[in-house]
Amino acid sequence: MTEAQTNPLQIILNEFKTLSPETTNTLIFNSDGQTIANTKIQSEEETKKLISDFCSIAEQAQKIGGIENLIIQAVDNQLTVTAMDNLYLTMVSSRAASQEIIKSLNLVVIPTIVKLINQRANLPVETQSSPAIDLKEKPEEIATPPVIEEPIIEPIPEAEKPEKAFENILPFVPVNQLMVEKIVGLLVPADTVRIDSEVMAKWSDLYGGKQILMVNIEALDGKKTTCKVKPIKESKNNVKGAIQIPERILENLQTEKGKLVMVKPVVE
Amino acid sequence: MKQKTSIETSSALTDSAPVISAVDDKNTFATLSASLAEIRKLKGVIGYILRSETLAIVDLTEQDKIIDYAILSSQISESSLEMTKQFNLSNIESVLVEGKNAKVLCMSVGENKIGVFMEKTATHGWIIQRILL
Repeated sequence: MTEAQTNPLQIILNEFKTLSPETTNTLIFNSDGQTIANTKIQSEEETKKLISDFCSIAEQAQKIGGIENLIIQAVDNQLTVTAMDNLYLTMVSSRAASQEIIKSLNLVVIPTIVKLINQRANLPVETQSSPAIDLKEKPEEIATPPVIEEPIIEPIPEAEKPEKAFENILPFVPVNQLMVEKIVGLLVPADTVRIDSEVMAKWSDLYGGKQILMVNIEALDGKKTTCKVKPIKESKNNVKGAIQIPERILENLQTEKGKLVMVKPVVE
Repeated sequence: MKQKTSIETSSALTDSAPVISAVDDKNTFATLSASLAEIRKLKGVIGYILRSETLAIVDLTEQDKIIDYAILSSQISESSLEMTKQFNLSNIESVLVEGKNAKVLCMSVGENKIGVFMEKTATHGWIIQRILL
């Protein structure tokens, strides 16, 4: 662990006195006997002696699966050593101290911080190690790609031209959840639904101004249909987030007014 | 398998140790052995070791672990004493070591050293109270 990584532990240890004034001493050391953080009341020699004594117990405690917790209770004070992966938190506190606070510091706060530090520490280690291996093992291969990349850069614009047609299909297809309204009337086409014009405009913008003519509608029970779509002409507030569906399509979807359907544009 | 071993040694303490204190020690040892025999029956308790300077009782379910557990309890007693000295902790009541598989409670009453071995789920608080009675 680097100093920067241990700092959060030191900061937390320094706060222990505030959180639990009855805590007189705290120390975190690793399984190699190295001090990671402490409240600096003890001398280095004393700390080493403490770790050495603890290690003597830990060695024998392998017979019970290694130490998870060590609690020494004196009449007025107690010393606890809690294992957290490869780290050990030692805390000396008065027995009058709130055991709930002591436990939450020992068993929740510090172990959580240690886990977070370990998670953060693991990420850069992985990313740092992989290029190092690549550089050592395949120096020539790494040197060649930039050379190859240069001629590739030129044909890319040419290659992009035919791909543009796919770009319109490939982007993320938005799915909107809209509320069903029944639309009736003699002039209402039975194969066309009407959708809030704002939603239609957003879809159109997303696909580079392309007009959306068809939509996929899926009822909550999984029934699906594809039909023509037009924007709702009315600019009333109540059409926001609504889809007006003619009776025949409603029957196909087996849904009704007031229910929700998932709607996504069909772009060809 | 349950095994009970009693070892009595006649060490040469006659010159240095007063007879009265030896008798007191034996009484304490007898009281403790009776308490531990009760504790041994508790759910989750897998055994105990009681030793004084001259006597020892070992009662452990797993016979093959007697030596391991004896060394462990002895090490806990010695090292924990050293650890507490550094923090000026006096009058130690108990030392509890929780492992992944089991836990050990070590206590000292006069010259008598006690090690109670139990499953992790066992309640040790009552045992401490019972021994300190």
